[in-house]
Amino acid sequence: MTNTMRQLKNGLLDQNPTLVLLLGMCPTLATSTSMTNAAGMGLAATAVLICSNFAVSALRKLIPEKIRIAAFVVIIAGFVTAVDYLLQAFAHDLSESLGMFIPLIVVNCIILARAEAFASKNGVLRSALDGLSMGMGFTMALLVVSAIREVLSAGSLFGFRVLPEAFPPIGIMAQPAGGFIVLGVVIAVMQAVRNRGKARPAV
Amino acid sequence: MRDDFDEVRENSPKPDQAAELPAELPELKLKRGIPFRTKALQTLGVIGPAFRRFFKKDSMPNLVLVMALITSITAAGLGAVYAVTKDTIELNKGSALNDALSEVLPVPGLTFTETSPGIYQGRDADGGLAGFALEIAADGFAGKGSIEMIVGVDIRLQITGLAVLSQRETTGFANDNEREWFISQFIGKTGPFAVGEGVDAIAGATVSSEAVAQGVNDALGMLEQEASE
Repeated sequence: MTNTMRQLKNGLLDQNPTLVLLLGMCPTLATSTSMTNAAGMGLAATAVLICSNFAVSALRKLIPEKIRIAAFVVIIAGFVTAVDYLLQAFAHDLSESLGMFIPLIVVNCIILARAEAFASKNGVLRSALDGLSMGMGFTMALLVVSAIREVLSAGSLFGFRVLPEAFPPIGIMAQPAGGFIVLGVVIAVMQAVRNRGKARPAV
Repeated sequence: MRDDFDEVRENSPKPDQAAELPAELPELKLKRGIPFRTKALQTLGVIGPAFRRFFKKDSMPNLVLVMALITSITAAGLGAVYAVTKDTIELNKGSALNDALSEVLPVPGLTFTETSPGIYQGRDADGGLAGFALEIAADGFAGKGSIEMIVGVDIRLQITGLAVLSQRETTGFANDNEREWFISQFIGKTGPFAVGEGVDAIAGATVSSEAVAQGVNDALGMLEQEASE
């Protein structure tokens, strides 16, 4: 397996930021009420991750240790605000429905964590790839959680009806409590898949 | 940490190394003169450390310099993005408002003009007044002014429509059918409205329902105040 493939697998499975590292729980719970929101949030965060990882990596030799966090936050905030403007201009409906959560990407810990743990120690291309891989992992987790929540709470996927009208919507699934329940189940399944074949600890 | 100055230091002749060199070599060097590169590096070797002390990576001037640099580059980039997207964003907001205006006062061919802040007069092609659209922020479950909405009123002060421009209420309580039903309770009537007396709240969203009813009352009050002035 090449390095590139390993890096991609890392973000999607082994170190999936949402399902394994449990980072970025707040946007995960808040924007996974519908698949459209989840896809929008995931892609916006991925774009910010790639750009910020690229910029942080390019500037890593210039930025002194003492002010690195402040510098990272400025860089990330810059990209997030740019993405916010672009969404408001070219994807107005999406930006309306994501509302406050686009500006809040600034404090999404996945992005700061990757800047600190990866981009500030690795080359520019490798860092951008890391951003793509982690962003895809976040998007995938969001899509899985939101698919379950949207089907159960509204009987639809991406806004298209998939269940008959007679199916009673489960209101709690659209609310934070439902988000926690679904997220917990998805994390459990993820752990089961990752631990498959490994010996169980003796009881 | 390795930096450019390390190269300077390595290339500069070191005193103890020079002493160890064989006797013939200095003569050879004198004959040829000191190569320009070595000379330049030696000069740099004098200025370099002084410069380096002042702009050491962790020295205060350098911290300020780097931070100022990063901040200004970010600001410049953001300015550029803002300049590119500004007009489209304004246009989007404008068209969202226009859509809402024609939704709450559904008479074809109306033009709206804002006569005072939040009050829009709808006039038909002949200039006859058809009604008003009032922009109001109601205090919902999510706090003060959390439901921004537009109320349409005809000239007999009967409600013609309601549209929510933006809101931050908890998601997942009312579906589209319930919302439509709730709004339909206001249409064709005149205020004041109160939940429990003529208007039924949406189940599970009593606070938001009351906020909307109060918002409609406020909008009517706004119009009365405007008319009396």
